[in-house]
Amino acid sequence: MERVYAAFRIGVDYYHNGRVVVNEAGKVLRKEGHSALIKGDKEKVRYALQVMSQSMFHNSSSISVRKSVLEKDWVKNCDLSFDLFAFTAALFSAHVMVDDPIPLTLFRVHSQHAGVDLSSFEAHLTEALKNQRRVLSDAAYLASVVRGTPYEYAIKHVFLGQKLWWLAIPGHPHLGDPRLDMLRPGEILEWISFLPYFRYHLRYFAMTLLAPILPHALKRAAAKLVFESNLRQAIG
Amino acid sequence: MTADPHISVIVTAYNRKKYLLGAVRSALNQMLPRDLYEVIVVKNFRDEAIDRELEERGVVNLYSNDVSQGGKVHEALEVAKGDVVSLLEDDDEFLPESWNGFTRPSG
Repeated sequence: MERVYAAFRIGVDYYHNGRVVVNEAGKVLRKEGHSALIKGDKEKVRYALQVMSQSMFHNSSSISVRKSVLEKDWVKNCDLSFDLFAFTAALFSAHVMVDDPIPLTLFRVHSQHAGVDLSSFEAHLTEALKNQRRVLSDAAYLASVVRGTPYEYAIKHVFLGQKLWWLAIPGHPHLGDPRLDMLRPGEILEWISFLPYFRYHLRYFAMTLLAPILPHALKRAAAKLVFESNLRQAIG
Repeated sequence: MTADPHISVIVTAYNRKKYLLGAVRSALNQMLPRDLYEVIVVKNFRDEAIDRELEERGVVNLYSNDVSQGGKVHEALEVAKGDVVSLLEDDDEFLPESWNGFTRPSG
């Protein structure tokens, strides 16, 4: 925390640190972190796109921020994605933003979420639906907040990405909101326009387009494979 | 240079008790002098052992029924004394400074 303190002492307004990912047994799985120093509005627009497209804002526990940055009314309306809200708030009112690759926090991959044991596929799926619905609604809300600002395009990226994931979850219910339930042709084209940000992850990008249109049985089989792999990683 | 900051570490927990004290202890065991930061826990449960330790270690302990992350953080911000906020989810931890080879300055 001394490093965080030192950063804010010299005028940083938003700080995102690297992290060490461990499993339930404490085994280190990987280290994650990025390096950036951003000053000024012009740089922030470019940086916002880079961060949003690569989900570099992830994990609230990696974030330190000036309290004044969080005092926007719409931040209170965040349901689950506080990391995204804090980053977006910083785009509007932080002068200096830092991405520090040094890992200062430990991120635990485990099979519990909010007290729910997720070691069975069905429990995991139920929780995934619940959470993804909240994340999607956060992204939709934020997209409406930033409409008409220089960050609209970057948040649109997050919103479309979350919508594709929602549509890819087997058994996702209709939400009664056409903005969330359907992917319009214009949105597909817009998503494809983000392709340059995925140039090193083309397989992943193809999957985001393919998964929502798979038949239910295939979606379920794919989700089960991912679940089993994640569970193995979590319990070591 | 700006004025010396004061950090409020906000730890949020919802239903899960298993990792919470580990998260809090990781914040309290940092090298930064304790008068430069405070720790605030916002959680939706009461637990005798956890609440006792929080009280003994001078941690601000808030009870909140708010399911949303934004709501919980907002409640902590209402009482936070710091001008800088560090967020910590209950299942994550701050690494000890020694992990990165940082050492406490002598003298």
